[in-house]
Amino acid sequence: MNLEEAVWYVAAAYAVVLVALLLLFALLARRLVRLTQRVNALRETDQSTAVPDGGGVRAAVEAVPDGGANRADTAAGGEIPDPGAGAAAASAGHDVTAGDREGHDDRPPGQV
Amino acid sequence: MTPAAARSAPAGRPVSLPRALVSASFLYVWAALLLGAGVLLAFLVTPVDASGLGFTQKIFYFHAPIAETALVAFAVAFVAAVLRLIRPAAPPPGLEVAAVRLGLFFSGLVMITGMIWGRAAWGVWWAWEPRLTTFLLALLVYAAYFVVRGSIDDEQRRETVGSVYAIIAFVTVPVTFFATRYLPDGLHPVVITASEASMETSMALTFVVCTLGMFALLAAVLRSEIALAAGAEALDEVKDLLEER
Repeated sequence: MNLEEAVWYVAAAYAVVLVALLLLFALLARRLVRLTQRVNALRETDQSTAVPDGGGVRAAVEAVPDGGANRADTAAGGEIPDPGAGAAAASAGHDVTAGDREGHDDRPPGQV
Repeated sequence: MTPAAARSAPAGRPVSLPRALVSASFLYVWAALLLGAGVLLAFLVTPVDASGLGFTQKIFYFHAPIAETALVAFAVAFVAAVLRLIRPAAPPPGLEVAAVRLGLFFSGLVMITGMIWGRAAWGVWWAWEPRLTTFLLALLVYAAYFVVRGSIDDEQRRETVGSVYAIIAFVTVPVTFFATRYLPDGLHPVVITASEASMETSMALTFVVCTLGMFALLAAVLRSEIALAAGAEALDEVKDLLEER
């Protein structure tokens, strides 16, 4: 086999590895996007059901025994958005929050 | 408290340097640096193999580390499966599935790069010789892992059966590894044995760098997969809570 032919085979093999790794990252990114979409869908559900305390997803996450821990695990990966923070931000300018909060909020003062 | 909670540091706690150095981000950086250095070493430093393989030998700097990474991924799945059966809370959620998935990914990659090299060296895309055949067998056995899991509806039973299957499937890994060394009539070259590595120093260095890079990549993707699985699990729990309210 001459050198030119060998170079083509080597280039093909390295190209396959490169494309495969890019595919792997693309699949990981796709799963991350799907997870983010699920977070967004959950936010919308949270807002449409008009949860009385307005804390929404954050309160629900904190109510889960390991909710905070799972978020810490997720943060170790560094990519998963915080559903609670997003919901809190989303509800900041929402009328339901201010109006419905009174009389329904059984949390101690100062708790977010 | 669930396993995830037991393992996790409280929010806001400072992350120690050793922990940070092996976090997913750092592992990705390590993988990129090592694999990039591996490519440079392979083409700029190592000589063209004079033992008959010629320039196509450069395929092996990535082909062999990918094969080792695939076997290591299957070994991780085996350990996670054993741990899960002994102490269900011990392995991180999703580790076993992610390890099998990545093992399959790297197995597929090693088959393709091996076929390209085989075409260059042997003149055929495929030969039914021990190493290739046993690796294909391992790939098919592990591919069936997802078929088995997918056929079971009950989550608890699916996890248990999956773990048992991952343990049984691991039998194919040592068979694949030792096939070239102990089965007769193998075309596949054996460069590194228990007693010696019959290659030049620069070649051995390149091989080690590429292997470490692939291992770092495997660890990084595994950590990301575990984080994604934990995130999805937390979301499911939140969703269930919201539906109950």
